Amino acid sequence: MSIFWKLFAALMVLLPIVALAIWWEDGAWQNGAMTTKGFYSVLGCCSAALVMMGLSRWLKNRQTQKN
Amino acid sequence: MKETWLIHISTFARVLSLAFGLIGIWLFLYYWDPSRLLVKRFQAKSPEIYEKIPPHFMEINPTDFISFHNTAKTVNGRTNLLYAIWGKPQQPLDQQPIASFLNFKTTSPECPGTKREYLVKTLDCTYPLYVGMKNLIKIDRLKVPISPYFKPEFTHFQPKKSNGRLVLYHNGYASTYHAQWRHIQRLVEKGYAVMAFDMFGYGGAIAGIDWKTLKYPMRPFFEPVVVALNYATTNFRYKSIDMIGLSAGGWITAVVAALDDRIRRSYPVSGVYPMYLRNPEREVATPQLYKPMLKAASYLDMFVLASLGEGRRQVQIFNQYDRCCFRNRFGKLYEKAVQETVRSIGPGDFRVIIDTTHARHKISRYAFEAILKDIEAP
Repeated sequence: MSIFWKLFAALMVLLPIVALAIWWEDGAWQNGAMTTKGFYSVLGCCSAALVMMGLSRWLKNRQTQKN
Repeated sequence: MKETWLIHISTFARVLSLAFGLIGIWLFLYYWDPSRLLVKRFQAKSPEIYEKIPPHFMEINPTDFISFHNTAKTVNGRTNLLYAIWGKPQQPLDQQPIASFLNFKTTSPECPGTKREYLVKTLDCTYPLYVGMKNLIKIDRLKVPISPYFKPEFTHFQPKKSNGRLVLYHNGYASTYHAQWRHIQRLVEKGYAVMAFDMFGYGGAIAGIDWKTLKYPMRPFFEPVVVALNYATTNFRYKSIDMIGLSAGGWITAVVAALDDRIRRSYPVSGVYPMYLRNPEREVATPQLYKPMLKAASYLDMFVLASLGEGRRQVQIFNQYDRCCFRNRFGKLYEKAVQETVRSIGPGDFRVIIDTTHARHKISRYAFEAILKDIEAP
């Protein structure tokens, strides 16, 4: 995995954690500094990004094994 | 052949991953207050939306719109205002609410199933928000009989360990007061009793009437608060009664505080500008333009009335980068004029705070801390 994808994966893990921390710290509600909707949206998108990265890597590995 | 497909799918998954990741980063920036503020400033079509004061506003002297310059004029002005709203020189001081559900509890919350359910959520639905709230001893639900078809409810949150003070909260349009449950919680935790109101047509104030057809059309907006004040002063011995309002709730706060000096401190948040500073597209909700009311007193006159009196003060808070309305720093244009008028008549004070910490239509933590500090100040 290239440095770019490693950094991207780290960012996708860190971003929801930071969003969770902000959301929680300001009351874990819709009117906080990070809205509930915002936290769930960030969590959803970053999880989807990680799943797609995993899928891509798995397919690549499978193909390498076949070759 | 199969291998080629695997390569294509793998590449597609990588592109999707990148796309989701970028959207995730954008959403983080969009929903986090400090970065959203930068986004909104960047997106603004004109600097006059949030930051620059249009030159024609600078040329207007707000004192020209203030006609209450002495005690006699303020007394007369308040009487005229009361006439415009109730058709008599006094608010309905003898009217009491009906107990709808004292010590409210439910084990099976019932929520409406409509798409816009957040607009009609009542305590029946949102009760779980308050279960286990620190320092809360009971919730009373009361009704104000305004007409056979309109009996708006308000909720009285009572603290176990009380500091002897009451705060009224009015929510305004676009949601119910339950959307502000953290602020209610914070007040109750600190020992304040809270009475919370929904706007006419929302939540506990769902309307079976058209306010425009009433003989005194402003009654449904202001009477619930006045009746709650009657109830509070008759049945409890609160040391002070203060009022916070958001958006149109801020408008109600400003007007009721002008009408009824039982309200000591008032905090309209993003809810009221004098007419000359209003955006004709965004800040002209019909009830706020009721002619007999505005003939009796301009909004600047009402700010004077709401600020006058021993220990009384009005602190208006505006979100400079508000996505909705009542934004920019216009409040600062009339702050001094109202302050000076109040000080020339008698005790009392008026202030404007500009909240620059976010770009939403809400009471931020910064604003709420400022309100709490002011309520507790002598």
